[in-house]
Amino acid sequence: MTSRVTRIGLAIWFGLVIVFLLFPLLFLGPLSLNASEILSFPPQQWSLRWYRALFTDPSWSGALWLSFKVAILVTVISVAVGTAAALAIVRHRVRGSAWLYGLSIAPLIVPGIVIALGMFMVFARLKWLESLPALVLAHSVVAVPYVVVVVSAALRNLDETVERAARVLGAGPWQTFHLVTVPALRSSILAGGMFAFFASFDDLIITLFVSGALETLPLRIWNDLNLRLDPTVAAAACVMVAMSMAGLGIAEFARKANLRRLQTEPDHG
Amino acid sequence: MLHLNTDIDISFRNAMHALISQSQQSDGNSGAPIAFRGIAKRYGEVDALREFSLEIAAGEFVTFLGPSGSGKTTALNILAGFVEASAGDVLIDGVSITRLPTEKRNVGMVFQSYSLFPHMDVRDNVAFPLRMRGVGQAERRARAEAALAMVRLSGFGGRKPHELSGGQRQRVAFARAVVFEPRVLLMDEPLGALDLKLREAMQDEIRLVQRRIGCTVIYVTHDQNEALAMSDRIVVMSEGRIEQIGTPAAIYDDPRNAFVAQFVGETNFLPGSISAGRLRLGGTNVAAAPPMRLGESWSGRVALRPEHFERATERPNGPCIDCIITDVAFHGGSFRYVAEADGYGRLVVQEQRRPDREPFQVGQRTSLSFGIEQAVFLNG
Repeated sequence: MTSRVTRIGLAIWFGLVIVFLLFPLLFLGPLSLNASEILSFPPQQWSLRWYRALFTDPSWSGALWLSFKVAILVTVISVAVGTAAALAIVRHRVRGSAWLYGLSIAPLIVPGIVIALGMFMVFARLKWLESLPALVLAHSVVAVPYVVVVVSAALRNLDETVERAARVLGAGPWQTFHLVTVPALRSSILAGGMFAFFASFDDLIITLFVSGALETLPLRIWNDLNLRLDPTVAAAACVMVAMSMAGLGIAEFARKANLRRLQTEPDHG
Repeated sequence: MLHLNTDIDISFRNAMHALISQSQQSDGNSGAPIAFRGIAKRYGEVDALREFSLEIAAGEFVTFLGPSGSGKTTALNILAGFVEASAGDVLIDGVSITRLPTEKRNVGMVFQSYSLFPHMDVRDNVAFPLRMRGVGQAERRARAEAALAMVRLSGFGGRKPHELSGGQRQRVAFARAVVFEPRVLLMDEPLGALDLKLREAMQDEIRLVQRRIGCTVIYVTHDQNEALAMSDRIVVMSEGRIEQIGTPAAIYDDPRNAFVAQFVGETNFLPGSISAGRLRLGGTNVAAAPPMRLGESWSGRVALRPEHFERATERPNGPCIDCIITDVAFHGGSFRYVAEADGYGRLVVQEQRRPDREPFQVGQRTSLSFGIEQAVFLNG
């Protein structure tokens, strides 16, 4: 009897949490479809003009394109660095690999503002601020840990004798890596890359400190909010939310599927 | 069931013929001799393997048998090139392979955990060693199919490893290990993850394929039944040392020490001594002549297999032991008894089932005898 009450109570609580989390979306959706020049709720007339503005207004489409470009570069760097780090940590058991693991995921724990401030000071000294490489590098610092965490988890589930089997059956170390290790981890690498992409794509804090005149989409939204309130903001926000949900959903699905497949191998020993 | 087995046997044989005619076309495939020369492996303070020397003939089936930590897998991994020896040399076909990387050693290998490539289908898994050897696509496919037919998995080529049962996966792993007709095949507890029935069926299959292909096999296991059933020779190991090398019968009948006697088969140990040329077992004088080689004075243990005991008759074939039966277990063709004997302790006895005699009952007093020539006298 109590369990029934508890269950209903929990269901209500769960519903409230979901509503709370989705609350901004309940406003943003209608706002972005509002035909009016000013942000008003509820909308009087419906229109897609702000979505059109997002993709045609150079200040918005430029920001979207820059964000995309940065995120792609960050993804490439993070996948390469993160996968290599995971291999070193899990497979080659380099000296102090526990420390290496801790160090490589530290950016997930250190507050973003601290990292941003540190980046700002380093890049200011190097006179690198407001450059694309600086922005990509700064984002990569917080994106690499996602790849390390996801890929090293999958690598731990990939029985080492699978790679040994490849070697003994005639594959050299490099062939083993690209014919066996990487394909076996493909979905996890893809998932890690997705997480890295969005770590960069929706970052504001680090961008605020490092990028200066280079306006990414989150920074464009931020600047817009400070000046005037243009409904394109709502459209941009909706596009970001949709992309994140789709991308991270795919990533999570791929990661789980990969782990499941690797775990069908029996335990060793 | 019987019908099914015959069917399988015929398709199996056909597939084997296909495979063998192929191998004859290539280079008259046969096993290669292997030599371990004074191999040692130390991990810090621990000797995983010491003074390991062994000559294996071409086409021989040799089993490394021992408990975990005995060094059997270390020896195999040194041969495969996964582990570097601290000292010594390994030769295949008279050529040292110690400096060769794993992929150049040209040996097949089957692992306990199957270790199939999870992202490749069964056919690509089996064809992998051929692909690494530059075999063309069409031939690769044909040979992979032949190898799959050999392990009775025709039609499974398109499946992924995670869609197969444990037994099927191990057969794929076996096909993959022999598809390139290696002259040396290494097997690391390949049946350890399978259940008993499947294990016995696979033992026969492995032996059959090995005999026909003719490759030299090193087989690692901790299962003495497996070792006795499959091997030409067994290398019994413990704590990094070789305890005894011999044919299964030699190791069973004439274990060199108590470890081997205990680890291979079941053994009863009776305390024994000789003084002034007279044999005593468990404190009782025995009217039997001890082996001459032990001399006038000796003390140690006498090992007897469960099947060495007989019911004592009026004219027993050797020493008699009075005992009381404490447990009876039916084993199909035989009975296994546990008996408590004064002065000797617990004895395990095995007796063939025969229509002309009643089995013992729990609590029954009886007298057992054994032929002294079957006893193994062990020092210490």
